[in-house]
Amino acid sequence: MDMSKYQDIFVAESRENIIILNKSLLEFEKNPATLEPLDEIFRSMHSLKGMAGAMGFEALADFAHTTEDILDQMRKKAISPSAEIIDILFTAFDALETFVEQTAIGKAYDTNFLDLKYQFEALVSPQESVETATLFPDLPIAGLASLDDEATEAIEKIAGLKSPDEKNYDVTVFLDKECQMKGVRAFIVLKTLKEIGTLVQCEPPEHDLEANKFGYQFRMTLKTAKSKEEIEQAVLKIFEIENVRIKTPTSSQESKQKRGPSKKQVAIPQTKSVRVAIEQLDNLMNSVEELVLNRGRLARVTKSLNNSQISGLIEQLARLTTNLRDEVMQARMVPASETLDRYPRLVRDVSKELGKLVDIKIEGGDIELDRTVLDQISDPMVHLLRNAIDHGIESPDQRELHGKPEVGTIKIIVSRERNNVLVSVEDDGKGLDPATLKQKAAENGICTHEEASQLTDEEAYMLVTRPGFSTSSVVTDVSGRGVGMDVVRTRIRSLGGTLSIQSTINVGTNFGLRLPLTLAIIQGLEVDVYGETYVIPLANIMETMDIYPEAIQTIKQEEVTILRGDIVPLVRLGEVLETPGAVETAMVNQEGLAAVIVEVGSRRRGLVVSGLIGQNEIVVKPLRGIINMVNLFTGVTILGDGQPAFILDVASFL
Amino acid sequence: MATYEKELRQKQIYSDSHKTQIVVFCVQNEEYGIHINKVLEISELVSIVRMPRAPHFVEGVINLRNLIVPIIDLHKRFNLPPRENTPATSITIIDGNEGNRAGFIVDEVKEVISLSVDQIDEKPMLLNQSIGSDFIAGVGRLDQRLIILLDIDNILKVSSDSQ
Repeated sequence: MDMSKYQDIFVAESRENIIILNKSLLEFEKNPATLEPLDEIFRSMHSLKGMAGAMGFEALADFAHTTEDILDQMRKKAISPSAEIIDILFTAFDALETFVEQTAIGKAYDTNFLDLKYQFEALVSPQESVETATLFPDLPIAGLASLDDEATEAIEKIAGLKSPDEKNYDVTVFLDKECQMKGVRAFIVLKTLKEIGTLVQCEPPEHDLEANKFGYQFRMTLKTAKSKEEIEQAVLKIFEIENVRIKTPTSSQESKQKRGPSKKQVAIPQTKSVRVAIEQLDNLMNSVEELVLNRGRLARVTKSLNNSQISGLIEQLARLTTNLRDEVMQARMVPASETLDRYPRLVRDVSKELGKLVDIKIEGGDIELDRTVLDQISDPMVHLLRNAIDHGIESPDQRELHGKPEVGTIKIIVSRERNNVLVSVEDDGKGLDPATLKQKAAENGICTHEEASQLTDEEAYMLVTRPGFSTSSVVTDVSGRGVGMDVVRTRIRSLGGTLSIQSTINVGTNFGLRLPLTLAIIQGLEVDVYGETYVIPLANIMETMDIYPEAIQTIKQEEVTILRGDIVPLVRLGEVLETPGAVETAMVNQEGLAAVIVEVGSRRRGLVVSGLIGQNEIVVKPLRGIINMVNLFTGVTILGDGQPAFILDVASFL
Repeated sequence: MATYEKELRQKQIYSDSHKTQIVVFCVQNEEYGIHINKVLEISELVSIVRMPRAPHFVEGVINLRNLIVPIIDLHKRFNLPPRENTPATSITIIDGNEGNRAGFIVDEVKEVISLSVDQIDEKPMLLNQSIGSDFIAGVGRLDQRLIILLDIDNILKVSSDSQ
């Protein structure tokens, strides 16, 4: 059967499973006394194995199987969870992840799981396996894995033939109505049943099942020595099985008993959701945006008609389109934990590698933000975490010297603030020393000693985001190449967000990311620049003020104004944008100007405009084609009157 | 100059059937043509929003049914004398490679003509022309008329010198 169409589902489900695997193993590592994480791992590993088998990834399925054995032994305390085993398990999860990611990009990955497999098998002694085998006859047997497969099969067959209790069961399986991979699920069911008995008959025939040519149920005759309950359990373990009905041909009474649903609800929570490709959501979003735009224009055009019936309808239309847009936006939102949950594992590995003790705490993982934004901050977050462990957190000895707890703490806190999401990465390490930063910046040729000496502490912290800046005397594998923070700042900026750094020596450092909730629709301030309209993203705006000629001063030929004691350099938009008529108008009429105070990072500027028009929700359209390299703008929007207006890239005015 | 690849491309655009339909327009009294499949629509000269720091030949952008389309002044692109707007001045919206839409401001859109393959000279001798040969894909001959067939993808390309 054609598996390619199932590949995306396989990848998506496997990714989820791998996240659970890592998360649970971390929990288990922290507290080996609790068994729930192990159960969780076991469940995820099991479904991963099932999927892999169904997709025909033999090596993966086989490997997952072996891993399962180890987990099983640990669960039964047959082997103790040593640091070594945990490490191997993490390595194993990584190997699984690599496989899945390679599959995602369509590469047949030649994973050599064998090394790991042998490591595992070495951990399990044969005696224990036999014991396992007798205790849990339907679980995979690790010790036997080393036996010749054929021999094993033969032994099982003989055992089966000798069994006097073999019966024919009539098994009817009902698939979940929301099941997306009917064929695969059916295949897994058949495979599972074949493991516990002999399939005598199948209706519809097997190949029809695999080719999806059936409804939501199918019927088989299974010859096995297992009890009805055991068959039922085995089948209900599989995902997306709604129910199973099993009857022995001899007894018709049992057939009336419907089993499963209540039990199933406990085992597999029913998810009322479908997977939708991001691209499809993007297209939907685009259409909705245009609908919103047209609604605005319709309202404007019909306003002069003064027809109460039409305006009533338009009001209703406005409500509907707003709802629709909110729903689509909501559909694009995912909880931050989707990305954050991967970090404990990263922190564990990096800190181990660097010989540091680090604990990670995550708050606000349930806060939702746009899928695209979340994807885009993944790399920057990894940089920040690596930096925090490498440069922030001190070694255990040093920490003790400073009277700090041996174990350092990194906190990731996500919070909502109006239309922004704030993500902060905070460590309790040695902090940034402005003096050292200035010194290094001068040494690296980023600025002169004189320039450096004039920087405020906050400005000095921002030096770390300059290209080519590095304080590490040793270039490690983790950080110190002076590329990371530069990339972080650029990425955050391109998302329309800002990065701020706060630090106290010996107390710690806080990297704050302020991100827009969504990229497609932003709040913007429309401003008039001598007859032309531009939009400034509200996320960058601190405040607006009227500005009079006498409030403009000059320092070193640069115009500035004083805002509550702070010097704010001014940028005349009319000049930068070369607006026709800006010069003559400016000469004659200096009255009635306004300044929009914007901030990027810790730098402020006052953008001088000739008028403020108003604040609006605007739809951002990217600049495409011949105009895509004009760097003053992040995009363009269509105003209520149908005219295009460019959206200023505030950072390019600093 | 006319590499094999380019020849192939031109053939595809201008010679893919017996008769080729060409939209003919005027810029500074010369006749130019674009294959009809590349022309999305012809619009009157609507108001154009200036785009600061854009290449000099980009007049600005317009909103074409919620699509932002950059508008190119062919007078400027071809280094011809400045354009004078008349009621006949129009915008030809074209569809370049990779969905690169753009509008060309032209002095007048004249007609749609049919040219057969033998009426198209794919490797024109350099005419006494001020427009760059990169912009020319071929020359069509109809009776006594010469129609310069444009290579719109090169026109939409920004090289460093055109900034």
